[in-house]
Amino acid sequence: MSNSKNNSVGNEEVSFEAAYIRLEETVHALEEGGLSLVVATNLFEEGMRLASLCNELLSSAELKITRLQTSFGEQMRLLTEEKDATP
Amino acid sequence: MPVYSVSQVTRYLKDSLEADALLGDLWVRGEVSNLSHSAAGHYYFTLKDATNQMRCVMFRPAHGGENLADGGAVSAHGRVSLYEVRGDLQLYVDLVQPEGVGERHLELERLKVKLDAEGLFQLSRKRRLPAFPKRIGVATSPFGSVWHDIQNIIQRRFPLVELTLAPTPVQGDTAATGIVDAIEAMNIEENLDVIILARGGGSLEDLWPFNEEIVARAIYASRVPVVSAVGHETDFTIADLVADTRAPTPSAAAELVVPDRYEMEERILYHRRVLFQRVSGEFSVRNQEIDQAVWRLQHNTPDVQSWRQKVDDLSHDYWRTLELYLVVRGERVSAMESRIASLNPDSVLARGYAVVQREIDSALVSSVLQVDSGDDVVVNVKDGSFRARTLSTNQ
Repeated sequence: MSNSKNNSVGNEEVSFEAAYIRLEETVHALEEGGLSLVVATNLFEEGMRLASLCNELLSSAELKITRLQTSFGEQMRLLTEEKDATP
Repeated sequence: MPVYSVSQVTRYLKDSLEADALLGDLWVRGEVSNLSHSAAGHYYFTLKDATNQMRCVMFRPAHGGENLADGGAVSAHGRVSLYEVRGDLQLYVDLVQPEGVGERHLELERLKVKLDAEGLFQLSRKRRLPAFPKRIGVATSPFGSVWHDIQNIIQRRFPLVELTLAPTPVQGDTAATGIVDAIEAMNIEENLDVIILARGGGSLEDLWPFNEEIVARAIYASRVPVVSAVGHETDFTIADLVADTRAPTPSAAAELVVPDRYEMEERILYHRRVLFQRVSGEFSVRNQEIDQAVWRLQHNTPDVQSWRQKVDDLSHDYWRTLELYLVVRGERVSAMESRIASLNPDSVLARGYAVVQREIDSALVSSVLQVDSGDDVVVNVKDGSFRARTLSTNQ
């Protein structure tokens, strides 16, 4: 339960993975049953919140593209700079 | 010194070649590559050994075309001549026979056996790919469609990632070292979750760098799980054998490393439904429990209804009994009444008797001893009374 609180408070830094895995946990806990009504209701609320968060993360995500420095990459960079330099 | 035209020279070369007894009828052993098959049914290919190569053409009526395959070693029979239009020296093949396993393949097989013995292909060391990678490395050429396709697919399926390109040539002499360099560069990065090593389709020679030992060892040494995606589905390289996962194509690799967002959305929706069902289930279970408790309560409390009934019945009996009692009593009363009536002095008076009272004290006179001569008495008759005086007494 303390996990869930962390998740719901610090929304910004929650990864999709963490949110989704916690969502699955809440579902499993409810599926197992044997919970008091208060706990079940809390899990339900938490699960619903996590589901919304996951959907939000999915729909708002933008692919980030980066490039590593390799010797080949360096060669390419030098070549294009040469091309640019020589009119 | 005369100056010749190109056509004159090519003609001369062609004639010289065709005049040569050896070149007019010979067998050539070599490995087939760059095989292409024209619509008209002709084969074009290159025969080569470790260092050199020559162009070959095999026109349709020739035999043994089914023995031609890239990488296959063959013995080809024919004649050497010049294709003047392009100035190409060619072997005009009329018969092809298989020559067992080609040399390069032999070399490849030797390397496979060696690396296998060292445990590089062991299934037990293959790592599972992360379900939700956050950063994906791609070792491939920055040019061409492979890098482009991978970006598109990841963008469409699961854009919650950082895609990092480690540029490397993927064919030619510098490819193997470039690939090793790229894999090493990605392993220096701290937070890469998976590496895709990719190259589009090509000839066996084009894919050769992925059969190089240094590439195999770099994949083996990679801290980050590697997905190999080299060529088409039918191409198998040593890189595929060492990699943690082999994808049939670069696009397939991109699909393999990330979940599909639409599928994730379905799964999230499903989880929502389960959550809802379970919670409403909990509530309905509680409701049933309450219903049961109420039922039990109802069935275990004293049966007021029947007690009430009993009381009703009893009181009914009571009234009946009382009624009966009263009737009996009433009868007794009227019997007594008639008896009393018979004792009523009025009825005696009516019959003509009189009741005498002493005037002095109203005492009923029933004996001669109660009066003396001269006493006043009241005589009561049926319809009234009168005063009288005792004249005398006699006994």
